[in-house]
Amino acid sequence: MIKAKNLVKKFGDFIAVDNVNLNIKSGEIYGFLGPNGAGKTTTIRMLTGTLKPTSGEIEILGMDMKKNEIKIKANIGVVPDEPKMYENLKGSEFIEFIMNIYEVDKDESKKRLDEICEAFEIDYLDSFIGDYSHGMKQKLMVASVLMRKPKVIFLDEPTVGLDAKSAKILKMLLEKYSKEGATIFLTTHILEIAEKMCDRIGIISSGKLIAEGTLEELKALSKTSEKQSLEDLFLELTGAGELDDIIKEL
Amino acid sequence: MKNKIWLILKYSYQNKIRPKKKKDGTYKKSSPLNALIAYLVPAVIFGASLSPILYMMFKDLNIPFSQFGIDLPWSMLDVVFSMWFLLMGFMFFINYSPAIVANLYESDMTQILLSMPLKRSDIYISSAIDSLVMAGLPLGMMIPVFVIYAIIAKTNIFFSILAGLGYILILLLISNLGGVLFSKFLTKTSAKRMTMIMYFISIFLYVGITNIIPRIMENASPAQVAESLKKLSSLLLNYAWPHTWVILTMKGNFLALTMLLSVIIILGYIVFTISNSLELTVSRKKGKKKNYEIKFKTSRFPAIKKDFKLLFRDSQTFFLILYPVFLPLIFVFTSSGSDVMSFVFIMIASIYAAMLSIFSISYEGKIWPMPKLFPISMGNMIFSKIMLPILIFSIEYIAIALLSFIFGKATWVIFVMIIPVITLIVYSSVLGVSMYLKNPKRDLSQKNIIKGKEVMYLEGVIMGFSFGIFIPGNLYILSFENPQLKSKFIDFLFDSKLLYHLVGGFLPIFLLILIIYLTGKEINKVKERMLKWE
Repeated sequence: MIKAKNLVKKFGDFIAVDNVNLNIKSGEIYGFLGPNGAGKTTTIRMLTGTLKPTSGEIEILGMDMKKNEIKIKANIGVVPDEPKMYENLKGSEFIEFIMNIYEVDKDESKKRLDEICEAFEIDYLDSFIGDYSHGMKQKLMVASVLMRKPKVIFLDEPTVGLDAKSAKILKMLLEKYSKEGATIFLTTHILEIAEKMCDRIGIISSGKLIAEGTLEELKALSKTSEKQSLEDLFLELTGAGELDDIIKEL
Repeated sequence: MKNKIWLILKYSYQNKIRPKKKKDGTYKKSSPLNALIAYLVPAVIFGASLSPILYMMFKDLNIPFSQFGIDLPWSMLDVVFSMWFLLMGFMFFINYSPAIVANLYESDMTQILLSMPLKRSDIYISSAIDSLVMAGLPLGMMIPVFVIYAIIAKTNIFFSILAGLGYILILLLISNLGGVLFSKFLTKTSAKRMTMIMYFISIFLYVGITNIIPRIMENASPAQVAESLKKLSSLLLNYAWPHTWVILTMKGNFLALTMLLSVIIILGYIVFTISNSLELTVSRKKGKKKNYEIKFKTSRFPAIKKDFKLLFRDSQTFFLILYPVFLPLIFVFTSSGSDVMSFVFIMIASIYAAMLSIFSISYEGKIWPMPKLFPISMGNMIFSKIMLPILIFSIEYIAIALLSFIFGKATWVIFVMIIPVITLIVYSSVLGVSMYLKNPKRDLSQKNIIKGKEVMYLEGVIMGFSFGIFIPGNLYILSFENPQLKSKFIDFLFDSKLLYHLVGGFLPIFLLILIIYLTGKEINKVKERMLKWE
């Protein structure tokens, strides 16, 4: 479903993503972890066609990104890290725009939208987006993606700005969709989400995919023999192990 | 308290300035005063242009009503100026009150300031002062009106200054009370929109009044004017109006001065008290419709539909759409030279077409990279940005041409000009998009999306083409039917018939061909640049 081969992105001399390879199967929830500036968002942007890779190949739903960019975009859903939307449109107008631009079945999407709105308590579609809070925008963004029920869903920090109930609903919905065959690719800083939800986890640091596998497989990579949490493992792998010294200094 | 208000204001204005990048990559520090000056310049220009018009219009009107046998203590001047004071007071109120709501009640900074050790009144006062720039136009107009009235009525300088300051203060306080009231039912988006729309209504009112009133007054004798204005005096100079107290104070009336000061003190106390207990947040209002009631329509051109909505809902672009129609219409209905209309229209619309396409594409820039996720090509997305201004201004021109042909005195020449008008608008719209895409990662937090240099380039090129095509072109075509005009045109061109044909006939056609060529070139640049926008 999602394949990346030798993916590289350079900004001038800076290598943001360095030779990343991914192979994510249908129905899989893949967690993409990494510290700030590790290259998570850059990777997602390349996989979703908003950024052109310097080199490497991307294949989504069996289609080559270079040849079928528009077709791929029509079949995937993306929840970006920041819910940016046209502030002078009403929520309902944004949804209508999304329905028309993706050419989805209106009745089916509307039915699903109503259910999602009820679950996320979205009762503000008749107001202008400019009047929404960050959380309200995030919920609208999630709804606009999930109502289409795309085959591949990319989510960049999807729970930021969501209240506990909405975050829980989102997690449950993603699990449901993955069981129905959708592929989920998500980045998160909340390691508990990755630990509980993801079938496989990839850890990126300084642009390089430094570890990948199931939670058990990742734990096996640890140099220490102790039983570790994903958090400990993540900190060990990304070289942030000297935290005690830093805290003492402060 | 003073220092804290100044500190908040200083950084608020600093935030309004786009820092200039130096060659070494560092940023040049600009004074917050520059931002303030930039906001007040239009007001000063409007104010300065108003003074001579007002003086010339009303210099002979300081005639007491008693001279016409009317038993009222006013002069004609008082009636006329009471109208101006009322108009400007109203304009000030409709501009300033929603500006306070937009600036204060829903500003992100307000929430941060509230978490700091500051009094609510400090935050309120600094924000109210900050919002004053939005009401700069009526304020800029008010000062020369006071001065002109004082000069013509020969009032006492001390009382005039006192009355002028008093009127501004009273308007400030009433507007602040209005702001508090508006905050109860206006949302952030509607307050912002209302502020800008009111600002533009003020411009329309100003341009309209300064163009229409002189023509009405031109042929009326002082007695006729007095008779018609007498009926209004009981309404306009009612003692309940603050401007009536102002006029009386300027004439040295102590009772009116006491009234003015008392109301200022009472209103000041109310505003200060309320400002210290304000929540400084507007409750978010839910939509009127329930979600299940919302019907979604199918559209074959969703991108165009969306762009159309955004252009008409943004108050700045709404102004750009309306203004090119507004000014020529004044020409159509007030002047005999309706053929000038096409020139007036194209001078404004050609620049605005570029601005409109720039604004339209900036909506995508503001939510970037979201638009790149949509399953439409960049070409289709950009096409909509170029097409809409062309469509809007072409329809406007054709509508005005028809109106001025039917109601004005325009000749068939106005229809001949349709082709060059649309050609120039197409070029302008493409040029705007091309210019934006040259550097798509712009600072979109400020209102001026394009830099001063880019504005100069845009205006220079487009105005150059407008002058080169429409002045000689119009004169050349009109000269076929008007031998007098033809001989004057030839005289102007060193009595050369060759130059007459070259400048009048060849130059506009050559420039039109050049524009078509340059449009093609810019389209190629757009194609190249849009692919690089990531």
